[in-house]
Amino acid sequence: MNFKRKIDRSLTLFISLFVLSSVLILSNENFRSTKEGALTLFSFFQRVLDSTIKGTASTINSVGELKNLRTLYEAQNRELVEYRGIEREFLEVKRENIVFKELLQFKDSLFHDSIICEIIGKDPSNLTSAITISKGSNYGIKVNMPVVSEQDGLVGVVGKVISVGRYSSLVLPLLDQRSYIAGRLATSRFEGLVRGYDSRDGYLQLDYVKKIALSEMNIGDLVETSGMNSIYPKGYYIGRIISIKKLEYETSLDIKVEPIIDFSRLEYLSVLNINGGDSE
Amino acid sequence: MSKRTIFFAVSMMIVLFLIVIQSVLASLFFNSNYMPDLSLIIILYISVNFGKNIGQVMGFSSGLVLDSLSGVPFGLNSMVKLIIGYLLGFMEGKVFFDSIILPVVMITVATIFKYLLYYVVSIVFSISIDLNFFTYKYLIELFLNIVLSPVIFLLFNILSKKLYPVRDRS
Repeated sequence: MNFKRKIDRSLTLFISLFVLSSVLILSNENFRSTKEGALTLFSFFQRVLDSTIKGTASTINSVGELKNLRTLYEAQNRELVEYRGIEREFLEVKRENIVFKELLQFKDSLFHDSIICEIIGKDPSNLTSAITISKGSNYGIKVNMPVVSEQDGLVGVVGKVISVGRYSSLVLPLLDQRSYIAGRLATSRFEGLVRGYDSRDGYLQLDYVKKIALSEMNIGDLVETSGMNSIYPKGYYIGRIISIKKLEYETSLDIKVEPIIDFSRLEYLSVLNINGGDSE
Repeated sequence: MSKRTIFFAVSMMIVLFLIVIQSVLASLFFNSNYMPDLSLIIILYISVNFGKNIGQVMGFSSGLVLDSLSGVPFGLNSMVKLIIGYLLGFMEGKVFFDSIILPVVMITVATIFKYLLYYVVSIVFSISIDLNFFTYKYLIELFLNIVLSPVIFLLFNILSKKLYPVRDRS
């Protein structure tokens, strides 16, 4: 009895729902608003889910994209390093090109036959300020040949060759205390003797300039080689006057000279081939 | 509120959620022709385990949701799922699902029966629907239902044990 009632109840429910479904199908137009309402309701959940899933997918894709970007970044970074190396080489070649052009012009401007050399080293003993150049006796360099260079449009004395090897030579800079050059003031033409005063301070001493020259000289005046009884031919600049002192107890002026050549920037220089060197 | 009511409310929510998920996933990842019928799997589970009343209510409700989200006339899915839920409810107490074989057999039968019902209902109510049995899409749906039914049955077994244990069923 109970089972029958249960069947009846479920059958009733089924018939009710079946009729309802049939009505829904048959009167579809009348239930359009109901369907639209249901669609609105469920489409809200659809939108939420859609945005959630798309957001998640986008995040996952972003991780993938980040990975790809990282790979790309690393590859481009490697490429950049390579290009930087190329750029450095290019700049170096460009700079060398400029230097060589200047050297060519410089060589043409020299009055004497010259041998262009590159500085390849400095005295490792730290006892002298001698510098090593890239050419030696194989290029005809001999001891006591004067060495000059060009900076800022002026050709200045660097020093002299003191030792010659087969493929390299040693140059004593004029800053060295053993170095003496016969010089004179470029404007007033008063003569003197330039010697290395202190290679660490980087200036020279001009001795034996008469006190009467004081009125005709100024700070900044150029000093050049005089060519008198010297290995250095005349007309090459030595330096500029930076201080002038008139000492009462001296017969000559006390003049400090700053070399024309900035030794810290020196790269290339020219060994002048005058009378084959060797004589002082 | 009884445990039975809570369980069916939760099951209903799951069905609704799965239908919405299915519609969203279909638009995002798959061709919508090749989607499993998740609501059918759940109706099968609920009807066979809990009888006609619950089965048909579940079928009708899920059918309404499907109707509202699909382009078919309102009521078509409701009727088909109602009939399936009601008829499957007759197996309550006669069939006990194992882990794989019976779910696979039952879902195969239910899927075929569903399409037969669509065919019959569309003829009876003169509804124009795109039913072409000579395409792969029904086979693919059947395959997906077969693959997913053991998983969903397992999940619902766990859920029913938690929310509506056998000892509470009279």
